[in-house]
Amino acid sequence: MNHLRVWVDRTFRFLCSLKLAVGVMLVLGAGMTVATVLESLYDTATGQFWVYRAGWFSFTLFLLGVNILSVALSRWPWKKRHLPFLLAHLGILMLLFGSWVTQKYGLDGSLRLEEGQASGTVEINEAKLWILEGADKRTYPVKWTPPHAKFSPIQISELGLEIDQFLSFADSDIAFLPTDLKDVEGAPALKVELAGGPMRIRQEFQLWGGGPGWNQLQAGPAVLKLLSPTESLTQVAESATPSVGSPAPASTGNALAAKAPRAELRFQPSADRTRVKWWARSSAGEVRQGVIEAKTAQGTVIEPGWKGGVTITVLDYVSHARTQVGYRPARIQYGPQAPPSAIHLRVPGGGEGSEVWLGLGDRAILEHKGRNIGLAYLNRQERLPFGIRLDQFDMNFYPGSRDPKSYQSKVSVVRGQASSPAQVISMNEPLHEGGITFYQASYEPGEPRPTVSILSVNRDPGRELKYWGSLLIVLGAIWLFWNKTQQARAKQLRTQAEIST
Amino acid sequence: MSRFKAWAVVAVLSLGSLSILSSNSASAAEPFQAVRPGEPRKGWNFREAALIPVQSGGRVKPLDTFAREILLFQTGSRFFKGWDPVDYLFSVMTMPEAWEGREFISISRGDVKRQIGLEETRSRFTPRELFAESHLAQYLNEVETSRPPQAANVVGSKPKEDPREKELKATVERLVLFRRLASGDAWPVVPGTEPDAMWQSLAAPSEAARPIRAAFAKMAVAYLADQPEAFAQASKEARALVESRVVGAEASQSAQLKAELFYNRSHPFLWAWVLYLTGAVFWGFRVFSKRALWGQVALGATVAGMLSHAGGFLLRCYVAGRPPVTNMYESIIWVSFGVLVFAFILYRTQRQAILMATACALGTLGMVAADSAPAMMDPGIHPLVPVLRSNYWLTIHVLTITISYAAFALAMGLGNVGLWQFIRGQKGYMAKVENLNHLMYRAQQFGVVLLAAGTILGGIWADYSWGRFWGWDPKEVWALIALLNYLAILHGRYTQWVGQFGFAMWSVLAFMGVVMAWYGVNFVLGVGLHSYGFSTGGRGTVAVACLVQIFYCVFAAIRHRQLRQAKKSSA
Repeated sequence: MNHLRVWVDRTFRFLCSLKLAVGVMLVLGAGMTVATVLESLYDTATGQFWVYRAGWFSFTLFLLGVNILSVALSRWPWKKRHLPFLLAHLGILMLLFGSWVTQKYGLDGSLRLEEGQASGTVEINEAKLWILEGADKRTYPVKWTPPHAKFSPIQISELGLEIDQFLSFADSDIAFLPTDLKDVEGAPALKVELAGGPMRIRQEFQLWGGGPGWNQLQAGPAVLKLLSPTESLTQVAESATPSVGSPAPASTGNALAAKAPRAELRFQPSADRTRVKWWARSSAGEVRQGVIEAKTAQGTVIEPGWKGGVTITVLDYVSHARTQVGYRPARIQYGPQAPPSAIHLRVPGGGEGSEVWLGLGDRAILEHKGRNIGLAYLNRQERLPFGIRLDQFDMNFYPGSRDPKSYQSKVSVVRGQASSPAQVISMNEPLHEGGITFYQASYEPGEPRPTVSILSVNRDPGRELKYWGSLLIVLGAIWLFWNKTQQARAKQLRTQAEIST
Repeated sequence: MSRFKAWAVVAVLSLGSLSILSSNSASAAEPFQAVRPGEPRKGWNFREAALIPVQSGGRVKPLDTFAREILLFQTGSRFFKGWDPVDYLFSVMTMPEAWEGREFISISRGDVKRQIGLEETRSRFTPRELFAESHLAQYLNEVETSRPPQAANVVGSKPKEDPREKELKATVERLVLFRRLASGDAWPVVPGTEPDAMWQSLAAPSEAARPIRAAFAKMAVAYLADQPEAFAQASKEARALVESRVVGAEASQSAQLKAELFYNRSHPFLWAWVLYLTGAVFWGFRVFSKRALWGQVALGATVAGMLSHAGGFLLRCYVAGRPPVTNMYESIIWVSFGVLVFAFILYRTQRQAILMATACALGTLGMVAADSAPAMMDPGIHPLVPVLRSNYWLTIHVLTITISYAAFALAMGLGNVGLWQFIRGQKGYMAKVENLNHLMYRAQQFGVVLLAAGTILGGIWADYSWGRFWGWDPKEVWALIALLNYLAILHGRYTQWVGQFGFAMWSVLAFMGVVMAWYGVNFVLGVGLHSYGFSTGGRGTVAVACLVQIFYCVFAAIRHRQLRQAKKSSA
């Protein structure tokens, strides 16, 4: 019994010791330093993953709370002179506790609103996998993991599924795979590499006859086309208009690209798709043509006679191809331009078609053991008991400049059929409604003016605790230092008196 | 290809060169003979011209400010060869050919000069040689095509800008600006007909621009012909004409424009540091001598310095219409003032010359630093980003936080003096150190309360305008780290873990946390929601200053050990 008492006593003494306090402060300080450097090198989410949202950091904060509580208790029985000390330390405890309450029970999401549209669905930046099978609905949280951290696979044992891969930043990628569905969707696909030219580029392009937007693309100043058997291979349009909706980024083209005549390369598979005819024209008007045999297509080099000795190499020809959406690590990693994450699901041991990639926002159906399973990889959503309608989004500029002066959203609160009079949300001027606060957070650029406003939506049950805690900290600290000064002054007077006597 | 886009712009603009003179009917008949081409018009009074309203950078400002900004931007110096900024502007406009071959376009980065293929030893270049440099256009094109699209977040973080690319772009802009000054295209002096509309330039092909163009042409002719009276008269007419055309809220700013001109020309901050320096010297005399006269002179200089400092600060408030604490330049000015204020508060009860000497030295240092690097710390007055447009919160949050930096700076300065006592190790040094430590302790108390309050106020503002109290933003986090540093020291002193030497040393070292929160987050890390203050430059200087401080502390620590051992062995 005595033994236990000694042990409890020791533990308590350790918990309220200044050694622990300083240790905790050092760990917090070092952790936060590392986090800010990570944030600078990578991005905010990375700093949060390794530090702010990590278990050890929460534990250190918890330890700080325990330390402060213990040191306050150690002064028991409390006397009047302890008051400022107690106030300051109680304030810190309240602040810590309030932050925990916010983290645990608060709402922190965003609401995207188009002009004229009402919505009450708040999106929270926590990705989840939704699995729907009949009336059965399950969700599995997927924790965002930075690219350099190991992703531990998530087992969904009820269905025998596994999330085995995670891409922190994912670009979608379309692959054309051979298919047996010769009549329904199997269209010809061609993958070529363009090399040379004045810019000395080397780039891959894919053409597919199965969908609009895939049969024509812009490669720098040139146009590549995949024609159907019924189109004319050699006819030249009078005025070449720039292609609209081409899947290739048009940034490599420029003002000159719109001028006719342009360099052009056309492919036309024969009706049985065993051969592909090609026809090329240079910007000078020179025309060349030839035929590729499907069997020997791979590696065939075409010289279209364009400027800079451009060559086009056929990398792959699939006579009947279907599309498959996949994801690969994004070209832009980190930062505000980086794309969202993607997950890969598979049935362990399953054959072809038993795996699927899902980017954030994607839905898919997976056939598994003869059942259709609906999958969705979405951010967590919460429905508000009312809707917010964006009546107008305004952006003002400083006179004579493009420096924004203010952003504001005119909104109405919609409840069923009724809607409140318009209110304005702007920077520093949020809207409070039903215990929830709406802030102007951002907007989507648009022409001629932006019409999509993004509001940040917040409910903070820990707010009062944090505010009162803050007040106590400041008052306690002032009082504490004031007392110290008085004590020092009294001591000084005493010493002076001693010296004079 | 579009790589020559920039040059196309330049070429088109240069066609319009001198269009001001040729398009004017009143004086078109006279032949233009430039008298003393490209030489400053010494002794002229540019006051009337300097007061002509200009709309640029989102606000209406006097031509004087506009000219100062251009002079600094193009030449990298505010006092380029003693040119009056307005004089410079008219000289470039009326005699561009005299400037073509003159070295005045500044390029500050060595890597940019290397990239363009220029000698690294030179700091300024002639427009002629730069226009001949085809690399410049090529790199500009590269920069433009590789830029990712801008994020549209209102409060979110901005993509970081590469300082080399920034300087490259600036170099091209300096060149283009040279041509646009000559063509009249860079002179936004034709007020819009609607309130808050964009002003047109002198070269605008509109009816509204015609009379103003004529008025400016008159000025230009007088300037070319070297006739000061005619120029002053023409300036007066031009100013009256432009002012009469201004509509809306911008029309009633005449008093602000005059105040701004006075602010530009009176150099209140320059006087402040000169006076502080004088104060520091005389306070220094007072430390070593018993003559009260030194103290009186020092006190007089310090108070005069503070008056000039406060006057400049208030003038800037009036001109900007907000508290000037939104960038590095403004915050250094404010913190330097805070150091003096805290020193005076402490001086009231502890009449110690060393305290004031330290404060004056710190004040001088701060003001000189702010004044010496205008390229890095922009002294211009700019409009605020939307989130900062709340004078109430801006004032209480930012002023509270930054004033705490002042208290910590004072503690740091006193700490250095304390360490010097250890290094000298004269008889009775311990009593002096104890004395200093008491002052440091008080300064840190002020600092801790203000930093805690300011950080919390920041949290409340963030809660109010962004929707969260604490978001682990780097600026918040570093304020917290700095606070934890000082809390650790104060707790250590309370339990006597930290002795007299330790307290002095940690006062110095803990200030590096403040430097990181103040400078480092904005200039080194460059991420987070406090992105409006972000900039680059000065890393080397700050790093060297920190290293010097660390070595100084180590040296003092070695001396402290020696002294202690000597005491032990003598006992």
